[in-house]
Amino acid sequence: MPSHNRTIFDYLLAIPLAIYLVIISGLLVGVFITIRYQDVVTAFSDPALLNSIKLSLITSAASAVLSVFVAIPAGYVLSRNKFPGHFAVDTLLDLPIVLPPLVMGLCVLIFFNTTIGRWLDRGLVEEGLFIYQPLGIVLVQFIVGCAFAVRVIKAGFDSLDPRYEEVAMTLGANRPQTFFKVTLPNVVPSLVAGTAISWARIFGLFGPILLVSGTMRNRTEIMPTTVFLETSIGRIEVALVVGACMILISTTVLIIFKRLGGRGYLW
Amino acid sequence: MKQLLLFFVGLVVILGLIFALRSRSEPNEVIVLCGGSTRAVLEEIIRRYKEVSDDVILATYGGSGDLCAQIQNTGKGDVYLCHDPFMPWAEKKGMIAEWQPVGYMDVVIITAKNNPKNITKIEDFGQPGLRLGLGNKTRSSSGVIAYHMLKKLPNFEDIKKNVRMETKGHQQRCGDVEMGMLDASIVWKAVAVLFKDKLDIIPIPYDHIDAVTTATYGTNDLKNVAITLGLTVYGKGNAAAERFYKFATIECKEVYSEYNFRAKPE
Repeated sequence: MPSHNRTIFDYLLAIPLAIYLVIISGLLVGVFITIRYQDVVTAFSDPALLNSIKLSLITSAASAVLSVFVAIPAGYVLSRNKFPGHFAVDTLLDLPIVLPPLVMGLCVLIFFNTTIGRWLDRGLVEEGLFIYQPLGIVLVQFIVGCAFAVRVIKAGFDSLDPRYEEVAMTLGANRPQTFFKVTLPNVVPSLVAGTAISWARIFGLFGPILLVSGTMRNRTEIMPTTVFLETSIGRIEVALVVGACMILISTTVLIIFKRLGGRGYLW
Repeated sequence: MKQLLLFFVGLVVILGLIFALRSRSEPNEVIVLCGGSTRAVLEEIIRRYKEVSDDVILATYGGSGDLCAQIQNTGKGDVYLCHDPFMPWAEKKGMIAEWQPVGYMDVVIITAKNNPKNITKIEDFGQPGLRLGLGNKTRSSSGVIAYHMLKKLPNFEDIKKNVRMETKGHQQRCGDVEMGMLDASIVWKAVAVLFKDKLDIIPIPYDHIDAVTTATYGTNDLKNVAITLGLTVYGKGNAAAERFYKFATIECKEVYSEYNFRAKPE
């Protein structure tokens, strides 16, 4: 809307946004002004912090990519097909979004106490694949993150008129060609948004990871775990430095996603 | 069709890369599960153990009860360090091969540095407007102890009005008092001393504490809440785990005292 057309009504509408921005900015500024240079030096003098940053970035990226790889076909199937049990499947996919992450973690823990779970964990490799292992982090992150990716990417497919695909096929394209050359390019914003939302949810996940992978320094310690470990021994300053790193990483990643073109669904 | 093939190849490549994240276990690896209140002392024991052994000690921390559930459901974990009442319970469930107490916990009052509200004893918790944080009265051992002490006081009703927060976490209460969200709390001394530069710590006389009462799992001696170290049934037979268990129970007795655990029961 051109600025000369703005009325007092438009300014009133902006007030809640301004209040919310003040709250968020206040919290973030509070974190950064509390941190002293010495705290940063103390935090980074421990190699465990660098390892936890590295593991956080690797596992969250791997889980987000895996989530999107699964969410693309899953979202498309749910969007374009109505089948018996469609409603139940759709509801089931929402459960990881609705359930507290800790409950999901408990479910994973209980699963690994079943015959199938034990075989999956220790059937292939003696020391185990998931329990107290970095793969457990990826598994839990994937379970939670994929549901968010499916939801956002399916919304993208829903909003794309199927007639585009029908026209492509009448012009001679086969199903895979139509999907990869017509459908996917038209839902790129939702793919980026799905990746971003999934990654954002995954990056800060903590409770269920604690249950499945533990908090082992230099093995399964990720940044949220570091915050937990540092506060548990009274090193709140170090925890704040880690928190500030998480804020900076999240902001950078979200800016990159926005630049990549994730506009349209969630921003 | 080529794109579909590429899609699945991409998926397989990603799964392969994720699989590569797997850590290779060492034969002399020991997984130690440690309750949050005893983290500092365990880290010191591990530091000392590394000076005399090449065994790889992997410590994971959490609530003592949560760790119990982890041992039960994963069948993993070699050594378990926790406070009462979890070890006897875990033993009854068949998870523990052997265990012994290594120290005893005391509760203390904590206030902000320089004690701005001038709290010197638990009776002062009744001050009008005081913001008090306690452990959960049914799910936290220190919460059970605190309520047993406080309910005997004539001003218990005033104190109850001042309780603004109940939680299991001692570290959280220490942090809240440090940041001014609470005026005082009752926590384990071993946890409070980790915050000693930021908090004032006030001892609580033993005569306030019941000798025996009922806590989370059956009857427990609340005057002598023990720190217990156990070798799990999964750690039994693992030579490295047995070596570490022996070191932490026999050769590190003085370390527990250094970290403010009482050596003997009252």
